[in-house]
Amino acid sequence: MDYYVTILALYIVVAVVACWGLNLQFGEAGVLNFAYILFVAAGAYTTSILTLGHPSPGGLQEYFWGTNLPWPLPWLASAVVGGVLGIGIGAVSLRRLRGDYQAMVLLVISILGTYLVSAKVSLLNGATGLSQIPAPFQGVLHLGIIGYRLFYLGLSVVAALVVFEILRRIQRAPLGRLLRAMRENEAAASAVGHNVVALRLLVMGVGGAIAALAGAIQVQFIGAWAPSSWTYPETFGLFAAVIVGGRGNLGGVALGAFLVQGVFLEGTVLFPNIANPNLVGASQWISLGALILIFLWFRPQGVLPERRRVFGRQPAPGLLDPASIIGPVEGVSV
Amino acid sequence: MTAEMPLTAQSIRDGVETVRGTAVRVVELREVTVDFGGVRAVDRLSFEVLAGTVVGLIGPNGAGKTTAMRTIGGEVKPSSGHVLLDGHDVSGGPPHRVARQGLVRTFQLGGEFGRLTVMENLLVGVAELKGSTLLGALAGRRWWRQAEDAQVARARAILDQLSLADKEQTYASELSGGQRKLVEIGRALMANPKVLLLDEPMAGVNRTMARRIEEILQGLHRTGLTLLIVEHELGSIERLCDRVVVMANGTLIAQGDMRDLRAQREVIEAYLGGKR
Amino acid sequence: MSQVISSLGFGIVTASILLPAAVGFTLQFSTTNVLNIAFGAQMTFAAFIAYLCTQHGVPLWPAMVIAGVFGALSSGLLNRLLLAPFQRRGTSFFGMIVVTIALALVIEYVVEIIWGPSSVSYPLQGGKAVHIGSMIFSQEQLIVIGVGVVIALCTHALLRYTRIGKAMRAVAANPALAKSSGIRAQRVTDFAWAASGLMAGMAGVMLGISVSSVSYTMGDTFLIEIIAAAVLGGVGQVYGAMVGALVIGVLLEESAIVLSGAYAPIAAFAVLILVLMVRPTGLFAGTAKVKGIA
Repeated sequence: MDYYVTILALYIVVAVVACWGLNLQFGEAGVLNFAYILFVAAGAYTTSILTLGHPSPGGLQEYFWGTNLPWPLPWLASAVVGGVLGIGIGAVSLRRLRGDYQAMVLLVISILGTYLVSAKVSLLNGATGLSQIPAPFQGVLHLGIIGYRLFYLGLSVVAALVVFEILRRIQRAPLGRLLRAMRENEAAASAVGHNVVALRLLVMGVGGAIAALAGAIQVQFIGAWAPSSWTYPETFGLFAAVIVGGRGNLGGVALGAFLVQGVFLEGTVLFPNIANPNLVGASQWISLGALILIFLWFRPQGVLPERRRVFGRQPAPGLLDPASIIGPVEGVSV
Repeated sequence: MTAEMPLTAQSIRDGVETVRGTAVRVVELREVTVDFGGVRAVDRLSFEVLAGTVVGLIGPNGAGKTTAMRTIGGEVKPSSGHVLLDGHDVSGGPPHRVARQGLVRTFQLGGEFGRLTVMENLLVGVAELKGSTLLGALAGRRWWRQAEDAQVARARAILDQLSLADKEQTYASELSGGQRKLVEIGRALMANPKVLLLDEPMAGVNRTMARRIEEILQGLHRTGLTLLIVEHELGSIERLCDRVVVMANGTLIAQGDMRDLRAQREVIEAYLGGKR
Repeated sequence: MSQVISSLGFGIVTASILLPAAVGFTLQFSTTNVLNIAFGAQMTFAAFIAYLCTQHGVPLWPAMVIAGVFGALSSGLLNRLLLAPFQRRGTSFFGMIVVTIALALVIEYVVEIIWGPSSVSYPLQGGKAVHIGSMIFSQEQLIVIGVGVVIALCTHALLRYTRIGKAMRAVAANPALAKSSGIRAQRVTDFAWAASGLMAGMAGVMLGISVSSVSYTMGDTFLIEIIAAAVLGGVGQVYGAMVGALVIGVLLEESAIVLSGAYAPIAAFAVLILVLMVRPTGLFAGTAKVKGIA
């Protein structure tokens, strides 16, 4: 039982981190990144090759290059790769294209990534994928299976907390307000002097870095990664979690990730003896679709809606002279 | 151009106090043409807006007024011709750069940020605020708090003037149509514009509210702000504007004082007459 | 060289399937402003309906027509029961995409539950292969090409000469103006969804014939190629979608020869991205439409 609980807990932490990154893009800034899972994959592959060591000719698996870095360098490097990739893909897809094109092109890019990695075996072992990816400190610590899992869970939670703090700061700062303004009305945001292209690239970068970190955490835990782990419908599962939990609310998104990714998707996989596994798989996706529809209809803001921002009432002295701003306005009674 | 002289004289005749010394062209359109896939929305449009004046842009539906506005704001790139702001070419934007240079525009419909509170709507109007960059945001509240507080105070003062003080924490989507227009005006003011471009600020707003918006615009005019207004309500245009530009089929057909324009046959035929 | 020409034959077959799909997808998008991610799933469902018919002794070609009718009816119903209510509620453009994604999941996995995860195939005659130059076609492939051409011509006639077709073009060009000039939006929308469902159904069966297998994920995979063709042609441009279908179809098959099979989709999609870098609105961008996209 503990065995399942630790696995499930880790999957949920990974899902929460991934959904937070997606929330920055979709929930806060209104950027619909249908290639999101690609960034999770980029992180997973980066951490894989940075921990697997040099590829040995004639070895079990092929990959273009590799080395062996100590934790947490692979995770950090993954975040950097995810961020750079986000800005790169953002520059290609978001800079010049209209909203509807952006969504479609990102979807195409996601598939393109899967095809490319599957087709070029020498790159990242093709469709078979990479395996035997080492976990950090596993050889050093002698903790037993459950003990090590708990240790690794601890590392992941620390990473998740760092991500949370970064996102909370962005959300509360004037930057977060600009992102929400862009979500509400892009043309109006640029008409008052904000560079919406730069803002979109920013969330592609930061969101991509967070996605990649989620992939890095996951891959060192399960020890394997293949194109089948990141097909594009996976992105929709993450979207579902963000919508159900509550776009724009970090706590809500975490709850959504827990409900959808943890209980709903992974939970049923981990307890396969309920029914015919094939049927479980399909009915799980059907109910996920139904869940999205139900929420969009009955509670489009999610379980925990975005919070209303309230500003304190301490007037700054010397700044409250209305005449200095727009002058006296006759006939406008307060 | 010789056109400056009679205009200045006219402005003075209308009792505008804010024309300082010689008339300065703030905005100037030179032969601006905009084509949309074979359709010529704006055709060699030239006019100028002098500092401190209120200029109205009128014309029947489909005359190209909104396209002209979007072109001035940098949202639409002219196929040929130039838009000058303080003598600098700003044609083709990008809009955020044009806005930073002092040309801020409001929208005909739905220009507010619906799921942002009124206060947040106004704060977005501030062009550069500490904490609006990634590093600034990550530095934490202590870094940007003071700058934001100052802007909050400024926004409150503006909201007072707009009689929206009690709506500070309301989502813009929950306001009436007229209040939304006011929020947009307030947001534009937060950006410290040189010229305010208003696209039908009184459209779809009840009479009382339209009157109030008019008074607020008059108040802004008195502080010396330059306004360019697209509007259908000719009464308001006549009361507000020092000069009116009439467009039809993408071109300028007349300009001058509203009272004189009412007497001109082309204008009546193209616009006033067509309505009755 | 002869390989290049013979794969041109495959390219034409693929293009003939892509054509109704991309036209249906883009026709419905331009009239209703809903980006329908469930289009691929609708194709799959209709393809299985045709399979069901052939299981009960209906010949393949009538089964294709039945699948088309089923596609049209189900698509019209889906709009009335699900999508239109969401739109009336003011669900945003992106919200509607998410709705169709959810719909795609539901349809796809309902198909899996009914017909199972493994693929099935239609009873094909085989028959004599037909040589045209160094291109070789099976008789079914020739009919697929024929159906594609007929659909292209019908679409052209529909848009050019019928009232409803003209109304659709008007709505696509300017929804507000069309409404104010007395076009009954409800009828146009219904028609657009039904037409796109019809084309999805036909294309689904054509795809099943061409790759000689039908599986629950088939439309899902094909959707990307449809989107590529539609985007390449310029979203909402029906004639653009036809050209896009031809280009993407031929590119897919040609690059399979010039490069290797695994790289074919990569080459086709890379071309799409490159084209968009040069022309951000696709090959046949029409008048700049102002639509509620945010």
